[in-house]
Amino acid sequence: MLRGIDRSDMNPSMMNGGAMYESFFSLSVDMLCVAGFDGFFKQLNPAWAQTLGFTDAELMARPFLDFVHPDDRLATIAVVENLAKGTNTVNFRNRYECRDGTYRWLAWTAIPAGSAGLIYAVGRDVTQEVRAEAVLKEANDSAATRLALLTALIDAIGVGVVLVDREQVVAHWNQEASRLTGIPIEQALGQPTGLLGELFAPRVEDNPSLQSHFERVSRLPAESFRFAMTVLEPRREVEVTVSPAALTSGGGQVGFVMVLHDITAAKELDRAKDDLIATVSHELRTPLASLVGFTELLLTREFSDAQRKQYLETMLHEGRRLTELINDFLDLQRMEGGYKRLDLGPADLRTLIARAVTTAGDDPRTPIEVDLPKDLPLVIADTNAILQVLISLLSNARKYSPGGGAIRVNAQVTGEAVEVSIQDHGIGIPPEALTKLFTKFYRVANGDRRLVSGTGVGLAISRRIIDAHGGRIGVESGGLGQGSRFYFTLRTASHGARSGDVLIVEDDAGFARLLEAELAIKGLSSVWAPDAETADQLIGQMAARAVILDLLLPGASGEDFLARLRASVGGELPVAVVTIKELDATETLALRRTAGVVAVLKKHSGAAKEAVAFIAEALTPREAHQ
Amino acid sequence: MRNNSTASARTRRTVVIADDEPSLRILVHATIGTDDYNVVEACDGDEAWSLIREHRPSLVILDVQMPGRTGLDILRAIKSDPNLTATRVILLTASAQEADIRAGLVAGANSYLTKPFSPRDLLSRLDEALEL
Repeated sequence: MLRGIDRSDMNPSMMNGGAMYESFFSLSVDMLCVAGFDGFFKQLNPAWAQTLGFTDAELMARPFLDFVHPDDRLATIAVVENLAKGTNTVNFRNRYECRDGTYRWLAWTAIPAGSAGLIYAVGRDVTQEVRAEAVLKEANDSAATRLALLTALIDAIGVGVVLVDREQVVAHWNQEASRLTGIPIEQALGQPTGLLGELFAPRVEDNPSLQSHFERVSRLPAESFRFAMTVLEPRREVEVTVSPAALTSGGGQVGFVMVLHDITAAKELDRAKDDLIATVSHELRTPLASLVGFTELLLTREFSDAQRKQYLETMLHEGRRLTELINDFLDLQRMEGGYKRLDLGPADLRTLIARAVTTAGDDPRTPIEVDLPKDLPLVIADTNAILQVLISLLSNARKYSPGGGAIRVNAQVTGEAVEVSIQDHGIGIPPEALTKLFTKFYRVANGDRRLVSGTGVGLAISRRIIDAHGGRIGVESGGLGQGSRFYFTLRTASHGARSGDVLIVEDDAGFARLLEAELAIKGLSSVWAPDAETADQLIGQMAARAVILDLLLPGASGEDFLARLRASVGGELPVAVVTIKELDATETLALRRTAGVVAVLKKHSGAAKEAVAFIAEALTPREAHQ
Repeated sequence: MRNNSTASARTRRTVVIADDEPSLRILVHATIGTDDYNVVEACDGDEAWSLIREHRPSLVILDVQMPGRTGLDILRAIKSDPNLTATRVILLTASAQEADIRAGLVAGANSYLTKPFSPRDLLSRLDEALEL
């Protein structure tokens, strides 16, 4: 069955084995061929037609390279060249085209018959193998990728992870597991689970059930369970969740995972919450007891007018206390995440103290005496928050001075801070209570102090506020009957905090921030003064080039500030007035005629932009207009 | 039941009220009245204990949470003092925690009331405690 080849081309030995050769050639399921270095097939066995679907004639009509996949042609040419040089080829793979347009992978073993210019080649269809290999490789790659991803996940996740393999040996112990337990990774890896209990024992608080948990762990647990332990150094609560690991294909258990979770903070939070709820309910029950009790008594029994009056007054007092408690409790809740939205800026303490004293009111039995140094620097403060602290401290000083006595307010500069102190001559504080005083709901355990109404929340709020300012708050007392001195510190305003192009005099922090932002867009820096007194000090220090002024201010008015400004700098400094104050035509005109005033605007949403436009215009050098 | 006709200055029993809240002392005092009892008030635990030892009262109405000695401290002290075997104790607590109540009863309190309480309830507990 030799086809398409001239017998004269055959060498003698081949010719000799003629019939046998022919039989083998046509019987082979492998693809056998003889090809010439000229690039054409010379002879093909039937396996070719069966594999590729082309007839022998079709295959031999074109150079065999035509049937090779374009991507494999270069490699095929190289192999043919090597064969021409006399080198055998073993297991070379390329793709051949089939009649249906698909390609099949063939693996070749070929030898050259140099003198005849022929190649004898045996090819085998390995398409299935190649596909299987590709699938396997992909699976391996994706397994490696998944493993790498999982390892990264295990190490990056914020919980301790311990993997125990089928051999009951620790196969993975992540960084967090080390941090939580104090057991180094090197020491843990490779440990048999039977020894895990011993590994933990010196590092955790002894606990009778712990041993049984670790025994369970050592027997390759088949069900998940959870236990908690206390790690000693540093002390923390760790929750351990043990979960068996099984193959999804139902191939049985391959190990287990221990997840270690730091629950210290959660436990503390729980405890703090329980304490708070217990305290609040306790605090609420006491005034309620008076209200309920006296109401029942008054409804069911006869009392003298004097008694009835006393009971009703007590009820009123306790009812107010209940209201105060609820308000303070809500205040404290608002403050829990730190004093929110602190609007910090330079502030004049003198005016803040004066405002707090005014709010506290007159009481001839406990007069408030303010004595401040002349050159008190500006501090960085949220004026409303600091005012709250001052009022709370003054009201405490009064409350705890039932026998009267002057209350002194002082301030002194210490380094980069100003310390404000409020000294009373009241009932004082026992030494053991000094440190607990700023804790919420703490009230000094003393009959006298208990006579004073209060909820024990004011000082806790004050501490939050001063902490948020980066200051310190504290108390000193010689003991019971010795009076108390409360103090807090605030940072002084640095030079940087006191310099800028434009001075904003505005008590509404939100609007001041808006003005700051609009000025920044125009490339102008600014300093914010929450009141006229702060502005008076700043104007002397900061070399401002312009002023944006509100008229309604907590202390001295904007008009007063403007008058002083005119007296000191005349009309040099452009001023934009932005106010919510209702001005009649005469007032507006008078303001407009004030030297330096470039605009008088009503405060509304677009007013900040408008005012800044006027200021920017006024500050543009004259030359630019020409 | 209480009977005003049998009460006289000579036979009046002494009751110590110990509570750090002045309004509560006024309330308890008003509830039990001064016709039948000689009422002594204490505004903290330490004062309460010295008054109890001084007066050897028939009954003590004790707030549990007080500065100084707590109500429970005083209750235990009463129970271990041979001079005070006749003294009855009613606890007043602002805590509704069962554990606190149990601790009080275990320590030998005759009765307890949780704030807020009804004055009528206080009177009936008082009558029970004094076996009137």
